[in-house]
Amino acid sequence: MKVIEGDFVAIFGPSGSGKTTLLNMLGALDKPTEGKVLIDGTDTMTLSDNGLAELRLKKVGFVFQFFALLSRVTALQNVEVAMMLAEISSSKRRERAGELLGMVGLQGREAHKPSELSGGEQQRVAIARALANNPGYVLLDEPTGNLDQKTGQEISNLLKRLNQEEKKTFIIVTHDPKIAKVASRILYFVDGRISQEVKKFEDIRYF
Amino acid sequence: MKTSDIFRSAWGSLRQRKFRTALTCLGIAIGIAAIVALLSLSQGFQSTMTSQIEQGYGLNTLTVSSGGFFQGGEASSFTLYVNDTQQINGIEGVVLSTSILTGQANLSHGENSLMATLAGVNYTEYSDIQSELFVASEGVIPQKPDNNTVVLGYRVANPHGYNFTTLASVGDNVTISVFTRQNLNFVWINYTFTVSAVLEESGGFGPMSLDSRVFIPIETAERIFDTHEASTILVKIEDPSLADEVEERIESLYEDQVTVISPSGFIQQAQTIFSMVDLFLGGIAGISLLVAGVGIMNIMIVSVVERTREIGILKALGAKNRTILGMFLSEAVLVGVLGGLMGIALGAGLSQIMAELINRGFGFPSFGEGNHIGRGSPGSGFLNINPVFTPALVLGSLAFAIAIGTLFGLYPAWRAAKKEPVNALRYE
Repeated sequence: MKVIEGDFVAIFGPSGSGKTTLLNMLGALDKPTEGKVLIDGTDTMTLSDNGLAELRLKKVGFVFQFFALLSRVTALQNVEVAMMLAEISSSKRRERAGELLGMVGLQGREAHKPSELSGGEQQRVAIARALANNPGYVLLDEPTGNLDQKTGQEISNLLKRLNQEEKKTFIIVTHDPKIAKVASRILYFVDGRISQEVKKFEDIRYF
Repeated sequence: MKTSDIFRSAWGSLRQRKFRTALTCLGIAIGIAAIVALLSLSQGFQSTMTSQIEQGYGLNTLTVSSGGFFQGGEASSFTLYVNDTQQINGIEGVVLSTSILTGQANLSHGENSLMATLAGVNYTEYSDIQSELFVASEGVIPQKPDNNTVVLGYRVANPHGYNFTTLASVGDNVTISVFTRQNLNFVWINYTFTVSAVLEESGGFGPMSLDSRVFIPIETAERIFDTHEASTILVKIEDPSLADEVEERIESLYEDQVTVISPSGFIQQAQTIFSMVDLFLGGIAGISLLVAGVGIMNIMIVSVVERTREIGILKALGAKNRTILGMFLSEAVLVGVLGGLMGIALGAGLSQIMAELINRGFGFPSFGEGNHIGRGSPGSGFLNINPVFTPALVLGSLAFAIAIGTLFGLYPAWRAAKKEPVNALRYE
């Protein structure tokens, strides 16, 4: 499979099909045992732990099912942490974190800690954080898996909007048809391999 | 990640767990406080002693005694005699020498009594050599010694810790009792003296101090103690720079059977002993710091496990191993800094309290019932210690605290750094 800038890809498949493993490899968290992952032409197999970390910092944004926010700091600081790792000055990163939280619709909630935010709000913080360092693409692992229907739909809409208006590249890994439907490319993933690629969810044929 | 950001985030995480951080710091603080208190007191004691030796003897005074003093040699059978001064006076570079004959005696006046060191001296010669200290505050030191005059040290006349404030004043008749053997019987023999002077307070400590001595004419001392053996001979030399030469001449006169101590040599030897004492005290306090270090390691390992998920998140965001290492290590360093600063403050306070207790005579109780012969003594003399805080002590102990923090923080930080991001993220 190949993903280019501006894509909105959903990797859709039943649980246990190896989606998360694929996501870890796409995100340079893990190296493949077979085959290759090329990120901007760089083979992740050739990189050291440090090289992989550098790649994640600059090219990859992550959003997890359980939000994975740092519980002891505020929403704003959670977004700042990503930029802190990229050694951006504190005044600059505060400004940008504020902008990003605005972009995901969290104005006024900056000073709240994750425990004071709803699930949907926490996931928005996570999306803002994933976008902080202008990554090449954002990987989302079941981003709506821990949210109710309505909030899940809101998150789907947000992603759609960011993809269309801000030209952000998203790769979503999910078994939830509702969010998979938002994507412009859908890869049907079964037993560790991609069996079909379709533009519309309805076109998936189940054998 | 910038170093300043690493420290800022470490600080934030320490503040997150205030109670735990405070306890960890306390471990370091106790060890550092012990080091600071003990070593500053030892420094204070050294400088008090050094200045008193310089002041007490003057740098142009040598002390001759038989046998080893600090050398730790076997007791010498060689003895110095009172009239050995005649030979020493003939040595080149010597201005004057005088013998001192000491012994223990009980001093009483009316109902009150105490044990003191009786020193037989030639008043004229002795006050020439000890011109700084052998000065009367009351009365007059007799120039033409009358056999029945006595000069009291300040603490003998005004003892600490007795239920009377003044033992005797100028003009009083005091009884000096010496315990002695008469054939097969042990008896106290009493002599009556008239106090002709009380000395000014000289400071100093222990039996070395003039404050705790009772001076009588040397001829009288020879009679009372029935001996012509001198305990020491003080030698005044022309110039302090001649100290080594004269020392050698005196030693060769006695074929190395005597010990000659110059004040500077004495100070040197005392400092050698003190540096050993410092090492010993520092070593004990250092052990408590090792214990504190193990405490840091323990707490940090727990902390690393608790924060596995946080480590996973940071790694997913692109934190390098060395960034994670730096974050945890800087927490340990901060604990070292905080504990060190707390310890220095605590140690400074503690040493002031200990100095106060020592200066009041704590630890040297001298109970005087007054009318029991042979009980009590003028006490430890008068000690005045001020703890000394050198920059080396303060900075050194802070550096030590930081080193302990770093050393024991390394392993937990390394464990944090080497966590696999995928597993760490999955950790609940």
